[in-house]
Amino acid sequence: MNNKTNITLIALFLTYSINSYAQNTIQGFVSDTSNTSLYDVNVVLINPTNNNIVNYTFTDKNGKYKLEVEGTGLFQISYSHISHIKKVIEIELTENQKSYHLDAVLKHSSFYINEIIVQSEIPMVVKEDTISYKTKHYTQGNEKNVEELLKKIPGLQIGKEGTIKIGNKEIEKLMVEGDDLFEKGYKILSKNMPAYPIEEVEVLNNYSNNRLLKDVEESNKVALNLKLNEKSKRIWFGNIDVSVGNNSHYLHKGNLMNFGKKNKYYFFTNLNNIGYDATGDINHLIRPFSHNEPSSIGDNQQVNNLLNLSQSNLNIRQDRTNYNNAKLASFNTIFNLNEKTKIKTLGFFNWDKTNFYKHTTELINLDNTSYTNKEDYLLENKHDIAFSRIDITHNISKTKMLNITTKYNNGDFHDNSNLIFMVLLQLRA
Amino acid sequence: MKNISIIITFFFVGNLSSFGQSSHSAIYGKISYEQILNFDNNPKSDTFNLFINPEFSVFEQTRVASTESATIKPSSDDELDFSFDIKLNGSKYIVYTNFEEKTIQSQESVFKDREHQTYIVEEKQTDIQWDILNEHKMIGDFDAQKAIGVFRGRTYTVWFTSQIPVKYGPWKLNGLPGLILNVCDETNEVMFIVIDIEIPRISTSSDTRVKFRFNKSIERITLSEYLKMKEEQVDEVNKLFMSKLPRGASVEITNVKANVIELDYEQ
Repeated sequence: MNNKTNITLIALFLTYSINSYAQNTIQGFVSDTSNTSLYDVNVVLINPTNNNIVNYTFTDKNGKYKLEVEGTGLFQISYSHISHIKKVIEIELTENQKSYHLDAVLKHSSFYINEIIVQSEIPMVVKEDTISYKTKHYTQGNEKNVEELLKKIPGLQIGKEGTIKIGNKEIEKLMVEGDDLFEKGYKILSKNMPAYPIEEVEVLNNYSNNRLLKDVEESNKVALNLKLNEKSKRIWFGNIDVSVGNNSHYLHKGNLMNFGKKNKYYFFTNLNNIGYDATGDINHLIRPFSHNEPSSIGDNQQVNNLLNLSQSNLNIRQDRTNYNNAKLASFNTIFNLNEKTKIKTLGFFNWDKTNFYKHTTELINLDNTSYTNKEDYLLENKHDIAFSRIDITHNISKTKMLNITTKYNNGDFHDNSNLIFMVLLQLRA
Repeated sequence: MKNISIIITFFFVGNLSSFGQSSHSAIYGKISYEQILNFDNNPKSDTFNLFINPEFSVFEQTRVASTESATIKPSSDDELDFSFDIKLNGSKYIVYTNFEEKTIQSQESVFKDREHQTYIVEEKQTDIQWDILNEHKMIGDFDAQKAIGVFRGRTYTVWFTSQIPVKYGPWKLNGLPGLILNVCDETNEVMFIVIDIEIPRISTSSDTRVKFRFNKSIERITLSEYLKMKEEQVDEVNKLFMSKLPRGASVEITNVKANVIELDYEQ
């Protein structure tokens, strides 16, 4: 025999033997006590060791069924029908026997259900402009922070840096129980707040920053609101970063937050001498509303600056030339006194000392003369700033709201500059 | 506006060998579901009733859907985003599954000849290959088990309960050894949630029959005819749109996206 026939024969043998491996057939007839065949009986084959459904079928119009099973051992077959009592029969499948016959007789019973299912299960509820998602339907329980939880909610896209978008629109703010401290700086919250206390995520479409302008102003803004479950109220969370570099450079950052249903606290601190200006981070806290928002009156008033010595503009990145020693600490709180009144406080202190040194050499060559200009410029800025702001909002009625803002700003600026200018003249005879 | 009315006829065929019991209607029961469709982050919910019976099941919308809506939004400087909702104008979405004959008939609406037309689409019932997992959870008072199956382009995760030993479920999903209670697809765009279950006392007279019939005046079409009409809808809307533009204007369709439950058909 040549090789081809050999292989074909072996293949045939192999397939034949695989097919005949323990493929059992169980068939039978299901009827009721008066020997009438029962149609549409659920015939389910269960593995009793783990209660897994191995296979299932339904009886046909004549009450007959056929099930195919692989393997041997002890199994259970359950026969259930809506107007009859369920019956479970044990069957043992052995090596020797391939086809089995099993009949069942079911006793009639009256079956009725009048049940209203409690719908706390509905994972998503739509109400006008608000869509609320019940988080427990979407989470697996292993989400560490809010950002990871939001990734699981359908319709939300979280970018690589943590930018939260709905469709292709970035959210205006990420609120917790209706309160917000960060505006567009929400990443501090989404990356640090733990996910477990969050019960619901609400997507607010056509969002207005000012409650009174809702449905009045043309808005396609969108915002998120996280609702906490009752139990987890007083949780403190945050992160602290301590970094030390060469030449005694350091960067220490810390965020500490507590977002309860009634009161919210946020502490933020940044100490560094690597040139980083942390006040940019809290700019939105000092001046919360963007300037073209309706109804932000008087927020941009400030004392006039008479004299300001600062380093000249160079083409080098700001943080590479900012030799500073900055300490910034900021405290923010929101108190919900009652349903109608809210007090928001913000305080920050900033101490900074920057040193700037510039040396300039100019070489000028003319026909008979050449001269060199040298300039040595030394600038030292020291400032102490204390800033605080209190916002009191009182909702008088659905259409009236009273908002009082008080700002206190105290700054001490010391600027010291030293300039030495030298000219070297060279005459050539 | 065409006024389409549906007549659902239940009649009882008298039984010959009477047990002497009252011939109460032998509908197995009525289960109501909430259908939540979430396309493009625009969720819509609707309530449906599933009437089940030994031979067939009827999945019917409870309220007539709201009138159609169409929106035009600029998506970039010279492109417009035109989206329209095909809503049944006066008629409900009904799916009738006949398990004996293994057919499904559904009342669908198509935009054709400048208006909504209703058709009864007839198709064969396909057996869904369910993968039953050993995960359980309580839904209401019932012990529900998880199963996963693929049907027409979507992977559905369903929870069914063998405590109600019927093979029915919402819409076109069935074939499990128990009533399907909750359905959610992989993309979270299609969801069915059970709201309440009412199974009246089953009478012992097994001969009482119940029948269902769609309105005779509605045209019956096959599934392939329906699919063809659905594709032509885009052209129909385009024609309607063009007729409202001034002479000489031209429209180029760059992208079409259909937000439907069935994405892929077997053939």
